Amino acid sequence: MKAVTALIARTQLTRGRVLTLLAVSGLSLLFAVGIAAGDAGGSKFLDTISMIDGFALTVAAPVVALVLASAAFGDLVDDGTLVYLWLRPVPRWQLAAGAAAASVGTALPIVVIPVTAAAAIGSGFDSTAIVATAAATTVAVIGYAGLFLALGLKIRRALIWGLAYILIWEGFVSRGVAGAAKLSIQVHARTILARLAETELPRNPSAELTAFAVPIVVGVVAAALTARWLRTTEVA
Amino acid sequence: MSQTPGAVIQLDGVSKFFGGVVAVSDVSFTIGPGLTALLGPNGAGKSTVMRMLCGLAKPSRGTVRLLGRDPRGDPSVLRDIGLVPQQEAVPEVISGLSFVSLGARLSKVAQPDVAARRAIETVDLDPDDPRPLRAYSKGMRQRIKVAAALVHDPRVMVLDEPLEGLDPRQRRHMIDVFTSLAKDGRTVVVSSHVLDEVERFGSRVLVMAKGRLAAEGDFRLIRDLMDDRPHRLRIGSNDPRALAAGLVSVGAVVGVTIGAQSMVVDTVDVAAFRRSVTRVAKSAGVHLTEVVPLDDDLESVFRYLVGGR
Repeated sequence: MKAVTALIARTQLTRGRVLTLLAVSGLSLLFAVGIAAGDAGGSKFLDTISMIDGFALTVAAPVVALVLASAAFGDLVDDGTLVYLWLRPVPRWQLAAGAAAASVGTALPIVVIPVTAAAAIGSGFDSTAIVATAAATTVAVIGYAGLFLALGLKIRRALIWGLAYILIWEGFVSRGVAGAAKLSIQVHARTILARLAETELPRNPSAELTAFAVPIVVGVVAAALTARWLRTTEVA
Repeated sequence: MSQTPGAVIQLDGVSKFFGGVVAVSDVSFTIGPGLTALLGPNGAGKSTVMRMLCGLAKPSRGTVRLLGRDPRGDPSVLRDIGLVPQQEAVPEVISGLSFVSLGARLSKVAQPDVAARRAIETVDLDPDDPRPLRAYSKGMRQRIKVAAALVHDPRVMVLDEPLEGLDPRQRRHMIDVFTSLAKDGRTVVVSSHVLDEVERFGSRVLVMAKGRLAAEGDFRLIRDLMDDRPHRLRIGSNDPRALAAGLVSVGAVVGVTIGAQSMVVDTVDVAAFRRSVTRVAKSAGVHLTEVVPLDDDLESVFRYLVGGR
């Protein structure tokens, strides 16, 4: 599985992608510097948590996970090189697990390191904000990576469909429709952020354990579905 | 489906539809050890058949068996398959050695790096070439694909247009590699458009046209069975006109084109013609210099079968 993970990670990490995605995540550092430099008195902590919620969990984590995870199999399907993995006597779950590991392993540092650094800078190195941010973004990336890994294998133009999912489901439906929030990775990640930061954020209805469990279960189930689809898909 | 004795690959009533398009229609054949060429014009369904052989695509109808197993339902059979796919793409970012070695690792080869080096040397490339595959020429990519296909020493090799992009020297070398694998008892299936090269693989062919199997077997025997098409021969002599007149008078030919030192004749029965021509020449006092069949080569058979003569 290590060999599969290494190959897929190298395919995912093109120079253009890495620079673009680092720039997206790195925006949180700019926002954090703005918060730290502002004259907000005792609200810097809350401003930072709001920024993590409004940018890191809403934009950076899902977009970085989408670009990298959908490319894990999507790139191989598009250029016809999936055949070189598919045609080896390797259990399909190992291929899916290798791709999931590559997706999480590449997306986590690109999201979590700059965003957590931003939380540190914005909050004046408040350990609660740092831990809450690291935990929330990690869980969000795991959930999104599994989801978009499956999407990348199953459908063409996964980037567009993934962006539509982020905008419509995560950004609109989960905020406006009662019950939909329970199926939103972003809402659960926000719950983790709020609970660990011991603060209040809108639309964080789940319990802490549920908030940790649901995105991870979503990621694992999506990776299992990917393994199943690998068995049944037709390879060009 | 009962397994035909000696069959390594067996297709029985296999069809493949893509929406309303019939890519392959009711194809049945068996392939045993040795080298078999799969021929057909573009769009004939060769690549689809090869993908189904390897389990990459599922037949819409019919059954495919490789070594008695279903290549889609039984992943263990993948250990015995080496495929050179038609598409040129290879993982761009890794070196040739990493690419071939990855295949060896995933196929659980005991010493993957050693096997990878050996396979790369077999296709006349340098295993220590550090460049990523994106820097490889088309011919080098084609050869590294062959190395990846044979690194785990599979019993069945499926090669889809493996000579594409190779220069004549490389083609000769690869043909030697394929024939050597076949002589070792492996089953090698090769598709190619380069018919004069395919002819060197041997005489066993499967010809596909418009998604159907047009013919299978030794292409010379196939030609002999085409009794609805006259055989064409070039006859060299010192007096083509006299010889032509004699052959027409005994009914040995159905058509004659006379040149200065030779003529081209069409005959429906080559064996009877060969007997007649010496007798007629002798009685007419004509000296024969050559009798050369013009259309029992693979290309002629292929043209007849796919209807594009």
